[in-house]
This record gives sequence, C-alpha cells and structure tokens, in this order.
Amino acid sequence: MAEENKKNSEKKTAPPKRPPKKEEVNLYEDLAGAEIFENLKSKFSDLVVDGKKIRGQNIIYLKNGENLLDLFIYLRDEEKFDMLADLTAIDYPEREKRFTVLYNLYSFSKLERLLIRLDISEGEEVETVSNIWPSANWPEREVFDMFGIKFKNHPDLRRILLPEDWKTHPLRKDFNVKDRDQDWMEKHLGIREDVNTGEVK
Amino acid sequence: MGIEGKFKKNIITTTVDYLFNWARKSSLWPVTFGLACCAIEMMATGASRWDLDRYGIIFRPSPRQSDVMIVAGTVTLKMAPAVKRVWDQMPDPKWCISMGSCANSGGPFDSYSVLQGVDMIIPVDVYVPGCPPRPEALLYGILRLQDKISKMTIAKSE
Repeated sequence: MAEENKKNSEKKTAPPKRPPKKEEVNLYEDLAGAEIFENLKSKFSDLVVDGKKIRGQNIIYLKNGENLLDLFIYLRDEEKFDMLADLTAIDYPEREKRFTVLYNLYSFSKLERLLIRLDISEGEEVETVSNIWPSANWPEREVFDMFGIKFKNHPDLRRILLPEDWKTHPLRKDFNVKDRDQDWMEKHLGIREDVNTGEVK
Repeated sequence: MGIEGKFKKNIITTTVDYLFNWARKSSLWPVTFGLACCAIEMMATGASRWDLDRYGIIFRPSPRQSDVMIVAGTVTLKMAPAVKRVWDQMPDPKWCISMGSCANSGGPFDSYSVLQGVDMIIPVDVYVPGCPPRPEALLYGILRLQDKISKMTIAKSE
C-alpha cells in the first residue's frame, strides 16, 4: 500500500514535459530562379520589385508604372493566366505607400495561381485591368467604394455598395466603423443622431 | 371617417368602434416586404405550418392595399429611404410591426451603414424581439397588435 502511494506521489510530482520551443519558421521562400519570375523580371525590370513563394503560392511584388497594362497583357497572353479570380486592396496606414492592390490570377491551362501585390500611395491612380479581364469591373468598383482608390480608364467607376452621394471610404483603417454620416441621414431621412448619446433629433 | 373625436363615449360610438375594430383587426393585410433573414421567418409564418391566412392576414404586393408593415430585417441606411417611402404610400389607418433585433435597435450592427432601429424613421406599434424571432413570436406580436387595434375608438379622448 505504502509503496503504491509512493509511486503515485512520484508520478504527480514529476514535472510536466514542456513542448520543445518552436523555431521561428520563415514561410517565405525567394522566388528567384522560378521561370515566371525571371521572365517578368527580364521583360519588366522597372515594375517588378520582388518575388516570393509561400506554401507553394507565388507572389509578385510590383510598383506602379506606365507599362503596367503591358505586364498584365503579357501575363494573360504569354503566361496563360486567363482568369482574374479576385481583385481587392489592403490599407497599411503606417506605410509610405499606403495601399496594396491585390490581383489573384488563375491559369486554367497550367492549373496555377499567381498573386500580384501592387503598392501605391494615397491619391495615386492605377490603370484598370477591366479591359484585360472583364471580371475586374465590379471588384474595381468595390475597391473604389471601400478604399477610394481610383482606376484610370475604368468604364463605369461608380460606388457599387454604398449610396452614390456617400462621402467616406469605410475599409480605410482611419475610418471609425460606427461613424454614420449624419449629413447624409439628415438629407435623406430627416433625422440626426447625437453622436455621444445616440439620441435622435 | 370625419366623425373622429366629435362625440363622447356612448352607445353609438362604442358600437361603431366594435364593428370597425373587428373589421380592421380581422383583415390585417401586410405589405409583402422583407429585408433579411427575418423575412424567411415571416414567410414561414405565412406558409402552411403556422398559416397566417386563418387570421385573415394576406400579404399584399402593393403598399396602397396594405394596412400593416412588418419590417422584417436589418434596415440599412441605403434601404431606409425606400422603407420610409413604402410606409408613406400606405393609406391610413396603418400599423407597423418591427420584427427582430435589427429592426428594433440595429441589433449587432452598430455600424456606419445600418439604421439604429426603424422607429427612428417610422412609428412602430409592436416590437417583436428575437434574432430572428420564431414564427410563434411573430404570431404573438400580431395578436398583440390585434389587441391594440381593438382598443381604438372614434370617441373624444377624456
């Protein structure tokens, strides 16, 4: 009996095994040497900034330039990225080039994706790709609606979700999510909230 | 009718009240109008299992033929002028049921694009809580509205 107790207590007092400390893994690999990256770099050296790979996903970092459309046409016609799966944007308010426009391309012949990150600063206009991939039309309108990024030569650059006479761009980081446009409400609904108490006048 | 508020309560006004209130509460015609998931529950209430028809409640596709508006769902600021317009197009007497947390108070959406309660733009008679309310809850709200209607009077208020 006593021996058993001793065994139990020994078991309990044994320090728990700590999980081994995880080494910080850099998931990003350099894309240098990859065919598509080298092709782009040789043809558009002034646009291509960097290329990385994460979990088998190729990312190309671009900066804005005159021949941006040529790059996209090259990607569609030569590299066979025939579908624009998504187009969106990210706001990094602490960066000098504040916005990143993301192009998510897909190739049906190669069964491959390509992510393109284009850094732009505030007020900078990006050439539209809706003439290259028609599916870019509405995503570009949404990016314009939510971030205020203007797309040059877009066929119909109006707000897509919010009312046409809306003023703010809600997905910008400096926008307060509770900030209802009181002037808009007064004009269209004839009401005005007290911002602090929520009282309606 | 042109005789509201002209007489005190007497045998004639109470009889007229009874008749009119009975007629009004027994044929509440809501305008076919839904904004979000609450509208699915509202449709379920109208369908065979809960069957609003047995209360004489028939959804009308035109606000001009309706006398109750069930605001079923989130009222976004973009939608709010349309809600108000539909309400303004309905002929008197008319009532409003605010269905669900979003229509009552904005619900979880304290955000830039959502109206914080439909009572900011139109007068509400019955608030039905829930997210979304069960059909029973909406049915209960409608019965409470019927109670409210049966207390209406054309007599002078004392």
